[in-house]
Amino acid sequence: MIRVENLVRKFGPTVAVKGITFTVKDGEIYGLLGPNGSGKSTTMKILAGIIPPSEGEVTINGIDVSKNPLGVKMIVGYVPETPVLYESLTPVEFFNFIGSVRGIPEEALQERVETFIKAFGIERYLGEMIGSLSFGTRQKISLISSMLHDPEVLILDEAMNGLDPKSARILRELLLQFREEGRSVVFSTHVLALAETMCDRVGVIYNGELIAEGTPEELKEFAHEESLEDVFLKLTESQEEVVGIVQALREAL
Amino acid sequence: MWPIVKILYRELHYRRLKSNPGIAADPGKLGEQLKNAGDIKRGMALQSFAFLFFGIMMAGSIAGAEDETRASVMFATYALLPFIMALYTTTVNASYAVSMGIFEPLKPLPIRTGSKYLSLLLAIDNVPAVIALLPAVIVMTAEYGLPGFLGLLWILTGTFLGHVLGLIVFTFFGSASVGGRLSKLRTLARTMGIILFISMFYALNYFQEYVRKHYEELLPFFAKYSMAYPFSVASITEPLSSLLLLLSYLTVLIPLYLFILRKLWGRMDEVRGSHAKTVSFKAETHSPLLALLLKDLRIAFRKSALLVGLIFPLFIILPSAYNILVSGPVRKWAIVSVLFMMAWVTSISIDTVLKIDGKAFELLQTLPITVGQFIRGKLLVMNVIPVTAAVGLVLAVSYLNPGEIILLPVAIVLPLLTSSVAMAFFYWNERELSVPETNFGHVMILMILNGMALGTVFALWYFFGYAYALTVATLGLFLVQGAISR
Repeated sequence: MIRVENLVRKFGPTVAVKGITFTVKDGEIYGLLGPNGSGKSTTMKILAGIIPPSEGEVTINGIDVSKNPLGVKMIVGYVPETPVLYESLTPVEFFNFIGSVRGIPEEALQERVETFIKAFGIERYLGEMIGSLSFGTRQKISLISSMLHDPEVLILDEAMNGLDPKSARILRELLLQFREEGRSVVFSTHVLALAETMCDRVGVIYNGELIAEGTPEELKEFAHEESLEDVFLKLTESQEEVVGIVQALREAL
Repeated sequence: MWPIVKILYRELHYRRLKSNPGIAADPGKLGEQLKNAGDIKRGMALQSFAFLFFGIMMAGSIAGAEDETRASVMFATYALLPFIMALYTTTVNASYAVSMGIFEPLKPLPIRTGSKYLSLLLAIDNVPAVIALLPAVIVMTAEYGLPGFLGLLWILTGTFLGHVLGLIVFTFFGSASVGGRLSKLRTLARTMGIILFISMFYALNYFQEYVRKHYEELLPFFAKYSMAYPFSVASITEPLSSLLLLLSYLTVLIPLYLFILRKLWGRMDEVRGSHAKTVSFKAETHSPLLALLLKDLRIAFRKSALLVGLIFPLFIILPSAYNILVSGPVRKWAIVSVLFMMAWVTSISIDTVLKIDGKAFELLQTLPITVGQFIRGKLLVMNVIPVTAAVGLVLAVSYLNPGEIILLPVAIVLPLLTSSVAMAFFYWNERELSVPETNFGHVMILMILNGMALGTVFALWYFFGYAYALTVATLGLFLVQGAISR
């Protein structure tokens, strides 16, 4: 279970996250939605124990991220929005490095890597250097490495980026399986149709504040809109702006 | 061209500072630090000021030389500094700049030879070393006239030489490659190639000695001057010959530089050859510390430009070690001095080991790695080559004189001590994983600190004996280790 209470994150005078509060229950997929620069990635990095909060309290399965970020990193799997990997290592070396640092027993590592590389179809790239692989393949490696230690909580920042339809489907199934096993998943995406079908609950962040929260159905009802995309545009005050921009573009081009 | 270089310089330092959580979290602090580190003029002025301190010391010793010949020989020795710095900064920083991805935005633009920006960006870092030699040039000019001016030309040529050689190393060995048939053998060959490449100036000098001994009448020019830099700088006492030699250098270097610039742009990728055959996954886990060490060594051996930074201590002490082994009866203090020298230069490689991760440092921040594990991992990487070399030297000497085996512990303890001091210097009170800003100015301060530590150990050895010095060095090592343990 993830508990976020009055989370504030400041970068000098800039307040990126302004007193956010939400909870992600065990066995729940929680979608964090928001326009670029709204504070989603900062929130997710705090949840993953990568950066500390300036104020407020965040606990992941009872572990306080401020007091024990290392403990949080042990149980969390985190995928950043762009894969950050050692490009001159091969996937084999990289997975072994991650396995070693995370203290995964060899047998379990062998089994998990074999399962994931088959699932994502990257067997033929295992001996190549990561830097020579396509963005999508690197994203798959990043995803696999985040799940090798069988994390209790998954935090995925735009994890669907660059994935082919088959891999995106596999990831979706994996996340649903995670939910069935009672684990928590937080993920951000700009593909709102995906969030609508996958998330049990959704939080909309705008300018560092959580401006709406609920199931996709509740949000649609609340905003009197038919799709989550319309809800999102309405809540982030972008609906009229988008219409105006599209009109201006048509005229200009 | 200059505006682009300014942007690249600022971008490189910005990304470096951003990887330090303590700075990245505070835009005010980041901006303040970036004002110094990211501004070329300010950065150069600060570093040059630090270097001038050494420059004045060098100029002082030249002023005190008895005659022109001695002054020129001394000047030639100092001329090694800009050459080494240019070679080092070019190879290591080229690899680092590329791995930080600062050239990616330039690639889609219609730029024919983008590598000239890289070249200029790297050349900027060599300015302080050239400035450090200016006081010596002024003294030489004031005392002896034209040789001083020629000395300046030689220093600029030496810096250019180091820069071109660095670019060659980066172009042909810089990008990582793996896989294919005999890939391990190729990695070994590349490593050996680099060692031979950067050692070739010593080799040239030894070759010349050979020529001098055997063909003195036939080759008077060889007998008088060494053609290899920096020994060639001593020729400034005979201006015409020196100028001719200098022009010969430039005749080779300028076309070589232009050729390399053309080659370089196409090769500025993190990863090049990856001729992998299909492999299956085999789990092989280690302790986190060993995993960090293996990861760094793999990257350094694949991106050979980084390897140059790691083997630098070896490059500096190689001639002295060679002399000990070939000069007949083993003199204990000669070996001891090499061991101290090796330990002293070990800390230089901190700059390289902290650059190995590049942008992937962000990945480390997501993993359950403590600051202590990170520091110890980097310490091991710093020590692999110097400790192996020092132990190898002691074992080789012990083969000739078995009694010298007692030097084995000190061959291990001293490099560990100086590298621990280096880590303590950069990570004092640091509670988060971070990459501190390291430039040659910092490394110089570090060299002074380690010089003091080693000087103390050496004095104890000289006055009270080996056992006492070893005990104090070991205690010092534990003390510093305690200070950086988290």
